[in-house]
Amino acid sequence: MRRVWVTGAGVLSPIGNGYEEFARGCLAGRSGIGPITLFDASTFRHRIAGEVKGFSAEALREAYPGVRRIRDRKVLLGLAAVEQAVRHAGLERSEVAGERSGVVLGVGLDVVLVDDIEGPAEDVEGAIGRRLGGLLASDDGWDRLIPTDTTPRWAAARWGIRGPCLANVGACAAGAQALGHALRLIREGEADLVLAGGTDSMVHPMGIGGFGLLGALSPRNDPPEEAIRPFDVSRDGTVLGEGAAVLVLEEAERARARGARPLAVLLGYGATLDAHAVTDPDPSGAGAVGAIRAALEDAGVPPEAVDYVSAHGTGTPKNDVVETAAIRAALGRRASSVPVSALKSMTGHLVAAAGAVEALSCVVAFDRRCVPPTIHLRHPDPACDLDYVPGRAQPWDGVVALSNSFGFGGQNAVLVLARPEVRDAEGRGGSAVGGGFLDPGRGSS
Amino acid sequence: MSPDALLATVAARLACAEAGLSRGPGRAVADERIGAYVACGIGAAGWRELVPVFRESLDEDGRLSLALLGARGLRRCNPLFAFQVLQNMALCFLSIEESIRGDHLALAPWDGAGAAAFGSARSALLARRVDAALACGTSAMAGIQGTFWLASHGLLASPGLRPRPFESSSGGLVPADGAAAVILERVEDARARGRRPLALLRGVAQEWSATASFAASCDPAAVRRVAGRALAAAGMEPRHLEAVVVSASGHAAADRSEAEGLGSLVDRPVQIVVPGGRLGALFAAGPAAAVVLVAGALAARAPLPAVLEPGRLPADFPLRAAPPRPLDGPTLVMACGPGGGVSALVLEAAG
Repeated sequence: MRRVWVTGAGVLSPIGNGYEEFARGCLAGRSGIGPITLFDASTFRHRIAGEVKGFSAEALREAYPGVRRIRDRKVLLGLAAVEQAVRHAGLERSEVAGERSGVVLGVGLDVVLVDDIEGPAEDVEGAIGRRLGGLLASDDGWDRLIPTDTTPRWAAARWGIRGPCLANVGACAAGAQALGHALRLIREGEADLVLAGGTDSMVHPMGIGGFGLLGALSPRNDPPEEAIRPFDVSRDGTVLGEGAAVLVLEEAERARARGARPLAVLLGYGATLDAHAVTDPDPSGAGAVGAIRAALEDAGVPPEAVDYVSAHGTGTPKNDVVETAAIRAALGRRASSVPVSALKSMTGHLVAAAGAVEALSCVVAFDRRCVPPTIHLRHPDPACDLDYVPGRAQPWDGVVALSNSFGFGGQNAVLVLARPEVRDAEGRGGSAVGGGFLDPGRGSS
Repeated sequence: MSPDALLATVAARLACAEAGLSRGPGRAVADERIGAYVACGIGAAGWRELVPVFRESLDEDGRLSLALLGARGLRRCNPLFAFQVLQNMALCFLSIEESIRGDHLALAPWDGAGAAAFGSARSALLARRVDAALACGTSAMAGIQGTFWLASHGLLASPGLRPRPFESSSGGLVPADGAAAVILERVEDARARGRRPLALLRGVAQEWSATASFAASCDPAAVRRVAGRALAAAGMEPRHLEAVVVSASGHAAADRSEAEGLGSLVDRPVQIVVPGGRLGALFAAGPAAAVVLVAGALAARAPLPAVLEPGRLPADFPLRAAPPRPLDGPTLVMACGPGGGVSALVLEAAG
């Protein structure tokens, strides 16, 4: 079976931009949540978010001249993550270009830009129409009307990629699903290299306002950094954020041939549908359990070999209980001894980017031999009874990590990643093994 | 439910019923072993839902005020507004309605995503991740948002024009709403449960043109390569083809490119089927709609609709057209839409 290495990563997140800063942010246990600065949210019920700090699109202008006309943050963040990832992997354009390479990105929903609206109060529909009509006649009209696939398409054009160029719209699971889809494309011979991940920014008026109406957001605006409390008994909702993570996935032999160093091995992927309700997870957790089991089976890894779980951990009352039960059901006795952490306690919910950013936090765990904490977990919910790594990062020398993503609408996606030093059945380094897993849970060999 | 989600849900229900896989006790394939691979359109519901919200949020000068939006406008918003614009809702609603619980994918927004849904469904079956796969496309581009998007890129036909693929008077695309879905199964599994396949999906190939331009015409060389690869995957050659379903929908340059690419590969007369002339541009739903047309015609040995009459084509048309007749041979379905994707699917009678 063709194996898939992670050979590079780019990331912009509320806790750090670029792999090194993000890795430090993951393990520092500090919150990236703060008051919204990207628009005036002073009269909104929810006034906090996980914003990406210190980001400027200026650096993208040379590679992507069109960005000067783009206001949609998710496009800009996604392109910046692509640029970082390719550089981080040490790839030249000639090594990326061609029909054997692809781009698969989870992307957020179409943005409604409220400053496009103006006109007389008695005729709002007409005002919307006139405003848009006027934009069409203007030079900068098109940048208000950005198709969903803009980020992967621009990235493909920039790097000469002619293989799969896809926008995954799996909402909160999109980033993980994009990585899983890319894994399959490489493993099944459709591609040799895929830039995969997710990008989103929900920090705009209708993102914050619309999700607030669903009752999914914490109303605790002050202090903002303590609003999201996954697995805590006092949790009362999630906090939206923005970010992007792109991983360079390569077929292992090809990567080895060019002298690339694996950051991790992407071993398996499982996806299921709850088929229950668009608003709530299935309380039975059957879909989540099924996704974990499918991912482990796909990876050829038994439940007792799992050493760490990066939880979906949204901080909503329902998710955290269902997810805890699902981890217990899928991992059995192993669940009690596996650290489980919720990166969202620090980043907020990055929606379409969340699965990719959280998968990258597993890479960080391998790299730094330390798992990220779940912060602001002071009084665990009695129904949430796992080791959630409260407060501080924890030294860790495990081999196999799960990354859970459970999306609105009942989309469940789980990734299995492994430490790269694990040796396979033939004794070759730099790969973990499906079907011939050795020395589970004992660290690198 | 947004229009694209509603259309997808109805199409999925019809497809499951047609395949004898309606939800309920005694279903021949377990819910967990049915996958759903859905190509979704752009968010279709946004503006109309927001009219009362923004009406409540305009200041005395008629400008939208964020302060008013936060203070009172959002109170007028449908509490489930987010579900109107999340594009995965087409997948989620149809999974709930049809109790589909297996592997899945939601892609967007153009024809290439529609064809990729078929490629992913086929791969899932071959890898035995699922035992039945719903491949679905849905699009609701005829609304205000889709119309403006297409117009902003100069792709929209003038008001009042009908779609005129391959005609010198073609003035652009006419966006359409629609959804289509089919159930794919491994042939041996379908036959084992007593079903007669409508058609065989023999090959899928895709390529992207690596251009940043949204409105780019497809590259004729890519059309030739991709169609050739799909045929090779099916173990066929161009001479075996009886019909080609083109994706041409009235964008003159794109239509011409597609015909040139196919003409450089297929050198004998074939039935040329142009559903876009009847249906308009279905984008993400286009490939699934074409597959439904072809599968139905192959199963019934019936003529395809919208076949070009040889005598009506210009002398320099790159493809040679065969007259309409009942379909019983291999058929190529092309998908070349905005976004630079070029895709080809090969279908054949089930025998």
